Amino acid sequence: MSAPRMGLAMVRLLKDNLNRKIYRAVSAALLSLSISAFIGAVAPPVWAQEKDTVLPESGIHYPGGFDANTLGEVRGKASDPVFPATGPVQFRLISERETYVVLASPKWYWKDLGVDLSAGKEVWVRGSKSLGKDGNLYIIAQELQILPHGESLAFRGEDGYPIWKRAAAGAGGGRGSAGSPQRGMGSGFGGMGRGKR
Amino acid sequence: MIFCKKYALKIFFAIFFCLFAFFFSSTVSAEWETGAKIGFDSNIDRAIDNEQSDTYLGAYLSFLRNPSGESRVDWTLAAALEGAYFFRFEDLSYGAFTLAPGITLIPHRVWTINISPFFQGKAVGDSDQSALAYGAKISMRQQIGKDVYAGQYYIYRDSRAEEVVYSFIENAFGVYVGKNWSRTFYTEIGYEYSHGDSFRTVDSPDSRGPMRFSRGKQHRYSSTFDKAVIKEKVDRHSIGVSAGFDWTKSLFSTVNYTYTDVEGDSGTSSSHSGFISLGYRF
Repeated sequence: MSAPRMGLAMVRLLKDNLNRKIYRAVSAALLSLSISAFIGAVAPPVWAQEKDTVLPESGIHYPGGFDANTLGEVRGKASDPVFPATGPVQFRLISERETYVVLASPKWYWKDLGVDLSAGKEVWVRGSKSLGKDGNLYIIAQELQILPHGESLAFRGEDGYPIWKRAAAGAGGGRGSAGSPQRGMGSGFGGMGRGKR
Repeated sequence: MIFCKKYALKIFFAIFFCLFAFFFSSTVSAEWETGAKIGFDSNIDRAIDNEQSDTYLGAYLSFLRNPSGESRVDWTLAAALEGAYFFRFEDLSYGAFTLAPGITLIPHRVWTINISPFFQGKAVGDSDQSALAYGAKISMRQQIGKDVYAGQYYIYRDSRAEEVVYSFIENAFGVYVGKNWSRTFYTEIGYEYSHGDSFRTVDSPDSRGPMRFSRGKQHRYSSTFDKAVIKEKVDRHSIGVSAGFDWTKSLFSTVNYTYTDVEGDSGTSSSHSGFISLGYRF
């Protein structure tokens, strides 16, 4: 074999080898996706899967214990607000018929809302009702209004998803991850199609 | 360094599967996401004249550890394995792994800041373009009212390719505004300005005149593009629009279009690119 032909054959071999490498990489990626898709098909959706804390006194799951089927509205007098280092801000709500413990949001979000809940103030709360293992009635607050003319303060969306989590989740940047992979436009690190939440 | 380059892909896969195993069992505010997308680029070779277009099919698997929202400071992690196959320029097909740890600060309930270094390894069919990159992204986002949000970001990226003509350092600034029209549909518009190195293709170095290459610019012939490739400082302006729709809580789609204009000493070029994706989060 002549030297130029041998050189040409070597170049072809080298190119084939590189192509094999990239095909192997892409194949591995697609295999991973297939495995993931399979796992995804049998796994519960992310909203149900997020790890909750079980509040020690009530046994209520936080923040995921909201159940839209037990939605109710209560009006009464607020008292005894508690601001724990972790977990939700709580206060007692004394209505005409029952006394509830209202579970609101983390302390930082409560503070940002500027809620002034001095003792004896009359409030209206909408939320998911639940009976705690300690025998108390609880409301996981979706919306709170300090009466008679207070602004309505939202803690959870219509689907019960905590608004403070939604605020934190979008920190990484835009969701649209624009551009071509060949250009590397930077609104997403890896070109992910970040989903809505 | 040679060892790293030789085994980069294997190392990235190993890291990815370790992360998979570790994080699948700990799902605190974490999401796995997988998806596929089909896209196009009207100027895939970054040509100043006679640009070439191409279409690609991509797939990704990513892990996102979002802030829990329970405190004002939290850590984040984004890890992604992705690949794409280009139908016309097959040698542009690639596999990449990206790792981006970060910290999120929430100074106010409508204002979040994220600071995140990132590392990326990319193996390209045209091995000259295979690269290891690192950098950092600082992003801010503001919620405006109930449904509208805005964001700004800055990215520094240093990408070192096998061939120096494909290596680049860039600084990019971007802004975007989005609106959630409903619980399942959003649109977003964004602008990005970037200044840094970029490779560009020209039909032949001689056709651009010898002066073009006498200022210390690197250039070489690319068998992938069948053109001469040069590297120079460019200013890039991109405008993009995107829309997303959630089919279910787990299944979602994104459609995007981006117009890009690149200005450098050798001339101005532009491109139209976009994609449609289908993703699944679990």
